[in-house]
Amino acid sequence: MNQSNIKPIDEALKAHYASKSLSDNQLDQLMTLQAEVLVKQTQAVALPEKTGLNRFFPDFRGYRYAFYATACMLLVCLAVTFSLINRPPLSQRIMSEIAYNHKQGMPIEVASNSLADIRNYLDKLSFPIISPNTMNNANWQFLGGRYCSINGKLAAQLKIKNLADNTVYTLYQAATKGGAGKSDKTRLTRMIDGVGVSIWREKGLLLGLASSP
Amino acid sequence: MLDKEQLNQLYRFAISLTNHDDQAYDLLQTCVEKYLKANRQAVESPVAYLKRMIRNEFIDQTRRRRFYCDVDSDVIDRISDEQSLNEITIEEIVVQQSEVAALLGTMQPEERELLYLWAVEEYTIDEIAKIKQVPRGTLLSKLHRLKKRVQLQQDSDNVLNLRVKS
Repeated sequence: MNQSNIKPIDEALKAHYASKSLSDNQLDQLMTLQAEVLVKQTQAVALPEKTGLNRFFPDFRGYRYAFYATACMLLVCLAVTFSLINRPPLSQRIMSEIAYNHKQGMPIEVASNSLADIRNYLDKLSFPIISPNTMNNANWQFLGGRYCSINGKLAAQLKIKNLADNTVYTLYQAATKGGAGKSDKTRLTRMIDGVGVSIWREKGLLLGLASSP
Repeated sequence: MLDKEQLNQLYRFAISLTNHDDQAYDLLQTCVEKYLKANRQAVESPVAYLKRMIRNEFIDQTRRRRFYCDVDSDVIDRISDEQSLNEITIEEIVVQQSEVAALLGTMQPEERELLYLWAVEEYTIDEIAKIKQVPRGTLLSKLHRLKKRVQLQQDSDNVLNLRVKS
């Protein structure tokens, strides 16, 4: 045995592995492989896909869901605003509802010429039905009444006859936010779907009168 | 990007597992390709990361049972006390340089890896235990067996002409 060639195992192992190296060809292959991948990755980073909104907002991908949500909310807000803007005023809607109810021609639930009797029957109303100032003279006669709804609230629908021309009208009475005692001389009159409708405020109530010509 | 020195370092580590130059190069190339495709730019130590990849790839390529040497429980018991641990001084082994390759050829891959990490990379047994995530006692038992085998070879005056310094 060559004694000079004997050494501790760690030194022998170091020398053994130090003698193991990649050939130039192998090193070139591995370096080329790395360089190719690096170039591809660099190109991918440098040239991100420029489509759609990415073209204008480079970071759009990260915020696209927030963008879509905001766009949807804006659309809903626009639709609601548009419908509110184009909504007819309250007086117009009430007059249309009165004209519709009048055309339905629903039968009366209580028949009486006495306002007191009708008032007693319609006891679920939050207000006492009244005889309007313009109808206090002897030319007007109550025929009866029933419940109805005006603007989503419980109201009274009374049949009233003008004895002078023998025409039957429908008189509507509903509570208003103004409360009792408030009157408004302003009287709105319109012809809606062939029905003549007038509304006004009296003694805190909204009154409406409908008649067919 | 790995430089040539780092590639050679990984190549030697692969040789410690395979004990075969061409197989080590194939292993290294496979792992470098996988590493590059995974685009692990955030990896703190690419060399350490690739060593783990190489080791895992090698285990995948070979059968686990062949890679891991079973350690007899009685061997672990025997070396569990501190006195026994102190006796495992692998530095005492001396070998003839020309016979190192043959000696490594008689070893299991895990034994070669252990010796490589200890002798070439100069890790301590504790550090190797952490890297390989195995108990220190298991490594010591392997060293114990390794030393015993080399001693047996030396005592019987085998063809490797190994000699263990007393």
